[in-house]
Amino acid sequence: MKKDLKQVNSSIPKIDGMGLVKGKPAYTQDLIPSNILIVKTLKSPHAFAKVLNVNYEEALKVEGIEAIFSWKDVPQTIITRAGQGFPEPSPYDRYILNEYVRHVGDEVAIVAGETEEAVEEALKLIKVDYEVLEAVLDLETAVGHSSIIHPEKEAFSMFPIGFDANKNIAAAYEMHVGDVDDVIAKSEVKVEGTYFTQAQAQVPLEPHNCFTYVDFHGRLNVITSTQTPVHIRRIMGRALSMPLKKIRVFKPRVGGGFGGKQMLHGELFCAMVTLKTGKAAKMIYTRKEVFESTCCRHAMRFNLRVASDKEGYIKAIDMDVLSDTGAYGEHALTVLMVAGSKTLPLYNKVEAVRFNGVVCYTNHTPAGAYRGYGALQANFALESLLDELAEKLGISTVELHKKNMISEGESSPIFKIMGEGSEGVDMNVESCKLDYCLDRSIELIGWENKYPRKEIAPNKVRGVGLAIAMQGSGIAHIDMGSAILKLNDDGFFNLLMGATDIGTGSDTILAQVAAEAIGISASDIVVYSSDTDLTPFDTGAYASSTTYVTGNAVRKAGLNMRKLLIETVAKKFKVTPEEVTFENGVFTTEKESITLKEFSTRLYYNEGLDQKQLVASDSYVGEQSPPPFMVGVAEVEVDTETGFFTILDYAAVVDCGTTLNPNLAKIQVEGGLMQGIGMAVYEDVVYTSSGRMLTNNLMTYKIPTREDVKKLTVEFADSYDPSGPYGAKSVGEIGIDTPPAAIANAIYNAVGVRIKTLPITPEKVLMALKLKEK
Amino acid sequence: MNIQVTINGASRTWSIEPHELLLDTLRRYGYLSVKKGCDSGSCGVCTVLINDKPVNSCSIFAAKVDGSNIVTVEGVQAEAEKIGAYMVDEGVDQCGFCSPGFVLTVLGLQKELKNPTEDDILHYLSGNLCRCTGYVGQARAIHKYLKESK
Amino acid sequence: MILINEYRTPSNLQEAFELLQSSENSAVVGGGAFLRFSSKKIDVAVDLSKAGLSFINETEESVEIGAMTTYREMETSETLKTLFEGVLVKTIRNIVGIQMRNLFTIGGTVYARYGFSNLITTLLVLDAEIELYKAGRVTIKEYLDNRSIKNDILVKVIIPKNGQKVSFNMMQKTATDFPILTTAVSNNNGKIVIAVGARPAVAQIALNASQFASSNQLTEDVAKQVGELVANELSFSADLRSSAEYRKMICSVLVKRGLLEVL
Ligand SMILES: Cc1cc2nc3c(=O)[nH]c(=O)nc-3n(C[C@H](O)[C@H](O)[C@H](O)COP(=O)(O)OP(=O)(O)OC[C@H]3O[C@@H](n4cnc5c(N)ncnc54)[C@H](O)[C@@H]3O)c2cc1C
Repeated sequence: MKKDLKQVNSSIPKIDGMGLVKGKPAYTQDLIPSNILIVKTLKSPHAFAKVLNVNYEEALKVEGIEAIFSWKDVPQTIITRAGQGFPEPSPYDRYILNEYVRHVGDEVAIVAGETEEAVEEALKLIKVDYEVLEAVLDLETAVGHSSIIHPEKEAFSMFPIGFDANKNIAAAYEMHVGDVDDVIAKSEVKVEGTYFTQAQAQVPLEPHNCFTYVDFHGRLNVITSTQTPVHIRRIMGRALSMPLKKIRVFKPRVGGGFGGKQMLHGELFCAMVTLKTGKAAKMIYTRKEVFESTCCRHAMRFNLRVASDKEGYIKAIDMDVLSDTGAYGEHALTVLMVAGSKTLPLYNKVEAVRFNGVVCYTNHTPAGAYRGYGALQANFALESLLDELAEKLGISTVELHKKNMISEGESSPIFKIMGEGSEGVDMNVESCKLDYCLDRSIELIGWENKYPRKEIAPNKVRGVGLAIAMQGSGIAHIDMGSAILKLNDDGFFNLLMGATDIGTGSDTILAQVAAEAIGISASDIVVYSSDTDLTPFDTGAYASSTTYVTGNAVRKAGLNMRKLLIETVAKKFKVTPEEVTFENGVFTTEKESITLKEFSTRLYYNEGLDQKQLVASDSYVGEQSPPPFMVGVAEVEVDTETGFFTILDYAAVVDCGTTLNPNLAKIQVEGGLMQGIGMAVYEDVVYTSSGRMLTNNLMTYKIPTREDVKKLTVEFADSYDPSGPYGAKSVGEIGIDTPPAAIANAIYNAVGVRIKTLPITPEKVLMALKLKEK
Repeated sequence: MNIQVTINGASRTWSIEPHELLLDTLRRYGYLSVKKGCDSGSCGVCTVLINDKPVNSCSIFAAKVDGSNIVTVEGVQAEAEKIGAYMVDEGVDQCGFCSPGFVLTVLGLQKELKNPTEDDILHYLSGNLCRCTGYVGQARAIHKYLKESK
Repeated sequence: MILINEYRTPSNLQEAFELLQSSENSAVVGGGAFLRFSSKKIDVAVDLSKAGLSFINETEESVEIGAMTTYREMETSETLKTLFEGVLVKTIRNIVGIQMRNLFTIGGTVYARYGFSNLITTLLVLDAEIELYKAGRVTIKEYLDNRSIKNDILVKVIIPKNGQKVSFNMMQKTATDFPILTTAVSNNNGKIVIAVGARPAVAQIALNASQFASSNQLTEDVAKQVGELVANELSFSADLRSSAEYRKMICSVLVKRGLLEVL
């Protein structure tokens, strides 16, 4: 299957790499024309308040100020900024600006002016009267709180998602298979626990930037660092009551997204200024704005129960989730569902399983999409508790996993029951090398000699711990990708795609797929992506969909192009297509041959009435969402006197099917691991008791540095998914899932304390050690 | 006010605001390889060389560099291409936003440290954050680059 | 956003001082790396870059470090690499990244009396003095205690060389983060001085514990006991990086370790 591959499964350089290393202008901010209005927003200092009056008379007088808008000056059309497929599974609970502000950093007014100084001064001069309302800042008391965060009667959901604004519930979901309570009651061994996962910030190094202008056709052009150009266009159309044909969205190079750029952010503010003034306008987010006014990961609380028999065969899992979506319900339901749908099927041989979750509104910065998307959170809870189960059973966690984890050819009822926002799709797992991943990853870390612990000095103990994980590959029956291939004279192709490369290398791997399908070299493909005027439909870069969904579309388009080429050549040489071979850039029949280069030039200039443009296209919607799998194993060293610990090594073995570009796949996993490690031990979005974010810059919000983790060891299993493009599944998200549980388990194995609230800090470890001593 | 600098080998007079940060001045004058990332000196994407030393341009007043020699990636294209070749070879040129600053710090390292150990390299580069790669691939690339460019 | 009306780079101290006095809203610019976070409107910014304050001079009795000396200059100074076995280098080497240590000045961190200042912790146990343009020479300790010194210029830091052994320890979240706690210990022929910073308040000497340590034969047990004394003597509070309780706990451990390093 894999052995014949020429273009894919090969580590060609990322096509945009060298240009970016050399600092060529490529990102949104690099493309901004000069003499453009600067747009900034006035933010709420209150976690929850009603805006009684906005007086900007004085501010307007500042020299260089062009326009100021409060909620009264902008359309009040309710939207969701989530940036998902349509109809969205997120509640419509948001306006461009509104008379309520629901978190510190929520926008109150838009100011546009000619200089930074003028805009800053105007911001200071705007006088706002607020009626400060009681803020809801505790996840546990949000549901049914007397303070209702979305009192507006217009808020609604497109279809039932459990939305109940009066109770501060953005979404809710319940499902079960079998009678969980009964099976647990009857089981021989039971464990249960409560786990907390914190809000994590995506922290792409490029902030959220955009600029807008109206072109000579009178159309609104939006250039933005986004993961979802098509959704941006659709949502802007609704919010601004504009037909979509009046809007073009273009995504330049993006400096990282990780989910944080799936939603709309500055686009509507900029567009308001451009539409009302007729002038080009830009919005460059400060890091503080990125933290306070964009989005983060949903913080969650899990109540989890697992039961097994004495041999260690798991019989029941009961997962109860409370999730914090912050001020707006973007991704509330889907992140919740993924917590179940991308963890529970790992243990598919249970007799009963239940998943129950509520997503509440609070007056925190809204949560949104973030790599891992619920799976990461649930993975921490489930894989931590299974470690406890193994201990209780007196067997190793390796044995417990081997006895219970899903294997190739198997299914889980959950695939059908739980999708993302709606029902899922039944499927058999056609590729699953978890057994190999497990054996290999513990071999890489040297588990046999290290498990569970080794004392290396009086106060220094090392331990190892593991976790397994799965993710998806796009949302089946919903996510669609498409591609257009155009042959040019001189024999090269344009590949036009809506797919959104946010630094992941998708433009490169999709060029490889197209080249493989056509039978040419990837260097003869020129990629153009993410421009709603020119590129075909694609839902965007999220849900681990680009490689699998768009990859399949590109492959189909490539095969169509190959067929078209051969047919056209056959016609030219008056033979049947079967008599034409195409290899190494040359078409050959029994008698004649012609290079692609020559053929294409002749086709466009010299074939008389047979001259024509060759274009092929296709699209793809996943019939299923084949999960990638992985095993992650951490080795830590704990200082028992201070609780300080170091991650000495993290070994991961991944089954993502064929690695279309092994180098880029590896970096996806290594990068995912590091973000997962950040989530596990360093990163935390923290608020004051009045709801002001304390961690609104990189001096207080700490992401890992290159000195923090001593070693990452990443390998891939030899795997091939028949439904994927040349056997590929997704690899973008899965790397982030295992570190929280694997590190928590390693620390437990080292020093005997279980940290159930992320992040796992030295302070928590030491406090737990002291408690244990007592 | 005006300042006089040597930028990528060329002598220039720039008109600046007294409180303007060098990052903003550089971008205003078209040196777009210098990126704006964190506004607090914490991420390193705005690194430039000032008199051969890596400095975060977001944290220094432009007025301070009057009379200095400044280098951005625009001025070291050949060197960037050389280092870039090793990065591209490892696939660590991901979103690319941290790459120009990273390249300049590597050049600073090369100039300053003669026989750096692996720890020295990591320590020298620790002010350059990267959110995409997980760092270890960058370490592989730079290790090879330094070894082979001796 | 900081606003500056006039940015001046005087070529000597006297001129600098006069400029500083010329307006109520004037400010000295060291590296400027922290000043830039200010949202003040500054009338005259007085940059000391050209006032001849970048130096590290060693004499028989002391090492003098000019206020504009950057952390990186200190780190790479052969004098400081060997002085007290390089404790000053160890003190600053983990502060953010090289790009910032090329900017940060010793004058900025000392003058501003930052609580998180790694350097102040070590300078305290070294019994360092500072020279201020107007107020003259005072010990660091006096400077920290005497908040009435303002609108002055820190000229240099003077570290006496008296054959002591010195250690610095700290704890951080990530390798480049601000400290959760810093501790420094010096042993001058049996006279022990212990200081703890980032409590998160500015570093302070634990006088009683230092005295106790000085009057006892230092053993592992005594070191442990002293660690606890320090933790009890000084006050700690909570911030984003740590609870007060945790600071107190690691204080005794870091001090104990620091003491054992200077035996
Ligand atoms: C991202 C970041 C992380 C940091 N992490 C740490 C850390 O972990 N540990 C640590 O110890 N420090 C840390 N610092 C602080 C740093 O070490 C410096 O102390 C700080 O930047 C001030 O130094 P500067 O030279 O930039 O001073 P400036 O910003 O120029 O000045 C600071 C203040 O001192 C005044 N001043 C400066 N020099 C003089 C002088 N000679 N005479 C009189 N007044 C003067 C200024 O007017 C100003 O009020 C960090 C700073 C940043 C930005």
